[in-house]
Amino acid sequence: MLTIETLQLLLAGFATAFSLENLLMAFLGALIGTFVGVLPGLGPTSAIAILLPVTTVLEPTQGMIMLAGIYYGAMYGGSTTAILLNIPGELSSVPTCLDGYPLARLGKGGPALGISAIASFVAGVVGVIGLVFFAPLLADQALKFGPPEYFALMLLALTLMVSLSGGSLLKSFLMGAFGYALSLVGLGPSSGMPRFDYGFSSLVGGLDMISIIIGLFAITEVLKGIAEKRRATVVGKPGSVYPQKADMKKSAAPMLRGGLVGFFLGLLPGCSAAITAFLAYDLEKKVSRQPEKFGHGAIEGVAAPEAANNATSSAGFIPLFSLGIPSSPPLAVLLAGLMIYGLTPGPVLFAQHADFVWTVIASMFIGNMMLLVLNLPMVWLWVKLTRVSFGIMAPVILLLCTIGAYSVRNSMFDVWIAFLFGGLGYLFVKYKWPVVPLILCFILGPLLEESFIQTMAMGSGSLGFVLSRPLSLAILLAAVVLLIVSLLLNRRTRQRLHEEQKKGVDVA
Amino acid sequence: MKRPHNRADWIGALICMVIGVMISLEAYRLQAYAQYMFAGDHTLPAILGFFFVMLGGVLLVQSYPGKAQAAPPRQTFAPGYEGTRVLYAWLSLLLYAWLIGVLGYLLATALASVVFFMLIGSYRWYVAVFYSLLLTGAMYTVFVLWLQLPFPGGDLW
Amino acid sequence: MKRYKQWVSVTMSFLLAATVSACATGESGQGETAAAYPTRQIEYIVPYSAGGGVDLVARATADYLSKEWGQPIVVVNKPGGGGAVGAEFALKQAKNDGYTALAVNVSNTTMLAAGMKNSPIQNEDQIFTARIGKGTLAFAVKADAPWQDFAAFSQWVKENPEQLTWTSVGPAGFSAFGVAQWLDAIGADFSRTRMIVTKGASDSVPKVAGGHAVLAVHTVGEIMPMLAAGKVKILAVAGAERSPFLPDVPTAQEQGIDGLTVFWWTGVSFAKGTPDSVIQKWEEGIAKMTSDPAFLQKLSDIQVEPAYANRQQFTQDTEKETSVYTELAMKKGIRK
Repeated sequence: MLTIETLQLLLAGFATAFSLENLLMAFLGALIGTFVGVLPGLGPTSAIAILLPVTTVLEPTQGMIMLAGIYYGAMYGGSTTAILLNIPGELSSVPTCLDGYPLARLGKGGPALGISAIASFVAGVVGVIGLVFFAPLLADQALKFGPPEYFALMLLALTLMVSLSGGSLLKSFLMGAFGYALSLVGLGPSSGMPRFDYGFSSLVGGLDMISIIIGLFAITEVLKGIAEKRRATVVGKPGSVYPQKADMKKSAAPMLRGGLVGFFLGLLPGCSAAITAFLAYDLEKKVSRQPEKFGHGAIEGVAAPEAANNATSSAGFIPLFSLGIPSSPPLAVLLAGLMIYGLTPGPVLFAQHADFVWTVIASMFIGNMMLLVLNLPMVWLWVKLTRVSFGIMAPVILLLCTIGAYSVRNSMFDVWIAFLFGGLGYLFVKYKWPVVPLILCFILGPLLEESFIQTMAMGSGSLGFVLSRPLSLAILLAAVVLLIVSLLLNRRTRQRLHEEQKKGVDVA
Repeated sequence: MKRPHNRADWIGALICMVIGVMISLEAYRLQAYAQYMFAGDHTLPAILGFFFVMLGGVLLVQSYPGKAQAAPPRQTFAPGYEGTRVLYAWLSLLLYAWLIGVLGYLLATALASVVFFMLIGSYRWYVAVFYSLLLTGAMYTVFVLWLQLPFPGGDLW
Repeated sequence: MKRYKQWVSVTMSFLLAATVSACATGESGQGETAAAYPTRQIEYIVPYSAGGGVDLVARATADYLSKEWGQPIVVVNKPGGGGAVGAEFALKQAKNDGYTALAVNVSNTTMLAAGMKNSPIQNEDQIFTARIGKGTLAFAVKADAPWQDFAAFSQWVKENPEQLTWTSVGPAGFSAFGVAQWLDAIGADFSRTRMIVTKGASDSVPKVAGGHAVLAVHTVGEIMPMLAAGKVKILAVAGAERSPFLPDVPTAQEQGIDGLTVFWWTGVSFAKGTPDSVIQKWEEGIAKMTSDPAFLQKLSDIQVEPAYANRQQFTQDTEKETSVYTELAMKKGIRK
């Protein structure tokens, strides 16, 4: 796999990427990406799509380096707001909110941000190493993953519902079902007929997750602030800005595990960063000796999903470069970028433009480093931001939400949806209906349904052969084991919570 | 008839059951397009419809005081002044979305942000207008002029 | 309480302003004179996500024409509903003053009209202004599949239709029409074959390469990366001529299977009622563009073949295509 030649190419790539101009591009990309990513709803996809025309004036290598920088920057920016404001910039930072925001309220927003940057960096390194060592081999293996395997994997991911439910299991199942139902709106995959459109032509296009997230998190947060008559943007003690040694020690293993989970699942097209981040979060909760701390400010709960998130995006470059398969929407836009430069992704790209590919791989590494350099000092700035008066911050957030929702598909319909779900989200929070299962199921819904229908078509209308394929059978068995473990763990967590409450500690 | 002790959950359960029925109806309609009896666009809706009705039913029962359960603290609806403030903020958001279509992005944003500043920050009107102009200008420059987001110009012009 | 009153009054005045202005909505936008088009930014609606074939052609076109005319042309992606949502916006909701152009392709026009009895977008809703490019249809199977040529593959399908699984974005998708026409030509039973629904070429070609489906039918450009990777092979291309990108692959016709006419194309259209001068301007602009070597190079980079057709030719072609596809769709039970 790893030949001297590859290593030489990589080194040559590093040499090119380290030129002053290219470093500047990576820096600019990461900076712009971070700023765009901080805006609610503007994740990597919109950041790249909006900035693509700007980069086409550059030559291909520099353009790609900048785009890669924007990509990573936007991912990181999304996590920043997730932690500080409970506003995930994009889907994959939803798991980061779960513990990041409680940490911020405990006055540990700074350390959480620092850990998140470090986790992203570690995962980026894992990703680049994987890319260098296994790229061609793994891309081949990913092809063997067919509809039955995806179907089994989606069932496995469904078991997360149990462990992600905060309070009532019943309510979280209902919310999950609601999320599924929302994801069904639009054209039915197998018939191509509109469904759940009730005569509205806008509904035929389906609901977009980003606008729902903007509503459920960002707008709901503002409404909550209004109800609480908040003064500062985030209520919480001011605390230390940088992570302590203890934080680092606690998060080292979760980072590595998250990075590995994210990397290997990220090779599968369609397995988005959001899914792997959720899985990594859940894994940490299961491995942890204090699962009851999760959701109330466990630093591991920030490290793992952040690492998974970033590793998944690195891993996505493998099918993109070696087979021309974009495994996520931002990568599809990056693919468009490549095509505009006249570069067709695929093994031919490796053969004909080896110097280009390795320079981009090297610059991804540099981009990650740049983020670390850029963000650790900026943590201070972000933390300051949360001290801005709520009366000023809230209108700004609302306007940014509008733009974020609009830019998803350039339509006012998505803005309406965001506002509608903002109101709903407030009711959900008020009456304790958990929103995370809704989002999880909305993400899983289309993949689950599609792989189910595909599997049925492959088996001429029967599901039996999911069990006859070793890979899908193995995943299904893992799902059963996970479900049992989750249920047991859930019970234990509840008992612990009960005990803690008895001791007089206010946990929830 | 006993009154439900947890009225919010009781209403939620009812809504869930209604959603379940709606989804089931749609599943029934979609079944006509499907190639297979158990696989097609109708399969998940059918399962979901069943789930909603069933789980909604369980929740409905649970929202009445049972013997196994200690009654949780009684929840009330959005209380007084704060609740109305939230409601007003939300309504002005909807109004803003509608105004963008009518007045165009620039004007609607300027108007709406004055309302937001007064409502959320409780600033005096001239302070709110000042902030609003600042904010709208910044938004317009960054998103419309630089990034060329194609916001609707409004039906008026 | 005072504050509460204060802001209620603000909201009221806000509402009042809105109602007054809403009532005042009068004449607008008709004043543009014919000679001075374009005088401001044009929106070019692409009803798909960024990065696909339609999007890339539209971006190249927007780039060329905006330089030519000295006004910005902004590509706006409005994906959803298989291309119908964006089309509906451009043709029915936007003003037909020539400042909203629509990128059309075969799937959101002729195939949509053929596949649905009450399709939201009809050919009559739009003025087909000019066709820009096309793509040749290719039949791809797994690289180590047992068939050496298209004739042998066709024979196998004829004998074992129930074993053929093919990928498509839906029953009325591009691939479905390609497969239906082919099976019709060789006399195999379409209804016994099985469709595997996928999200598009980037999802379906890997499925074929991994052995989860037998056949993928896409344009040559869409299959190219996986072909180059040696994961799939192309048995034949449809149409009368070989693809310029794959001069070694024979056409179906060369292998004795006639009548495969399905091909992918993309072009520009405007809402009906758009001023003729605008249509003419675009027609001329695109004619000039498609004869410019620099633009042709760009098309070739994104693996699209130039296929200019003026308004009259384009309209005629789409009408003919619609009737052919509608007939095919009715015959094969695709039309719903």
